Amino acid sequence: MATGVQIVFDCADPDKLATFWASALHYKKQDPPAGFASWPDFLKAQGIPQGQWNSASAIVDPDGVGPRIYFQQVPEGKTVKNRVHLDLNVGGPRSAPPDERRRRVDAEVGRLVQLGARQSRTIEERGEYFINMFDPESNEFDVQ
Amino acid sequence: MATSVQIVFDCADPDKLAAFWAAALHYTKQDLRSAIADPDGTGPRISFQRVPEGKTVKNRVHLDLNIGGGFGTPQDERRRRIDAEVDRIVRLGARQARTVEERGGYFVNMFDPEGNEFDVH
Repeated sequence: MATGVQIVFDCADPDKLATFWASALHYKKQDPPAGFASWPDFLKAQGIPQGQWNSASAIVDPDGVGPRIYFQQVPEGKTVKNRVHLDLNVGGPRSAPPDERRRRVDAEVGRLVQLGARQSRTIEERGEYFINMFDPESNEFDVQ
Repeated sequence: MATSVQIVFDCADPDKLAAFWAAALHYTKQDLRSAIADPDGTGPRISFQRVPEGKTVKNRVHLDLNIGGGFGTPQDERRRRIDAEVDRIVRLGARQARTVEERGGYFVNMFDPEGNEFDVH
């Protein structure tokens, strides 16, 4: 069986970035541990000072299929192009007509921009169509 | 339904890095494009693309490998599973960095053959 993976983003504002990516991927914030109505309730019970409550946040696929994504606060900012990034598969199968794939990609990009992403280059090559984007902390990702 | 994602690594040698990660995750090489996939179709596809620039700083996005079984597993058992997996992955070409123990957690920081950070936890 394959090893399960979790994707981890270093960031400045875990809660804000988790909110963006949960909406972007149709994920949800991870529920607090059993017996706690909210994350603040849990963190308070653990004795964690309120100033550290936004040190991390996690989102999950509600259907349990896609990988969990974890956001952790780090002191340093982003300085160079990320060497690891996500592609969002929204265009449908390669067998789908190019016009249909383009329509789906463009519509999704419009939705992601409204959520706080920035659109960069549009690339068409060898029958592929995808759009480079940046999340609210300028992490690169592609919609294809 | 959630949007499916693919993870993409910029690298110097896509074929070599794909071979490492396929062995590390029990994935299989997928096609000629240096991509690897979970044979059961569960985990995300990972693809590797050659870029001219080298790695210069700590990656801002990395993978955690879920090996220990989570907090429902006794700590000794988690540690045993993690240590065994770290040994296996080192033989595949990874380097072991720090071992971290905090708040009941136990994980090991590692580097893949091109210096990309990942954690076994």
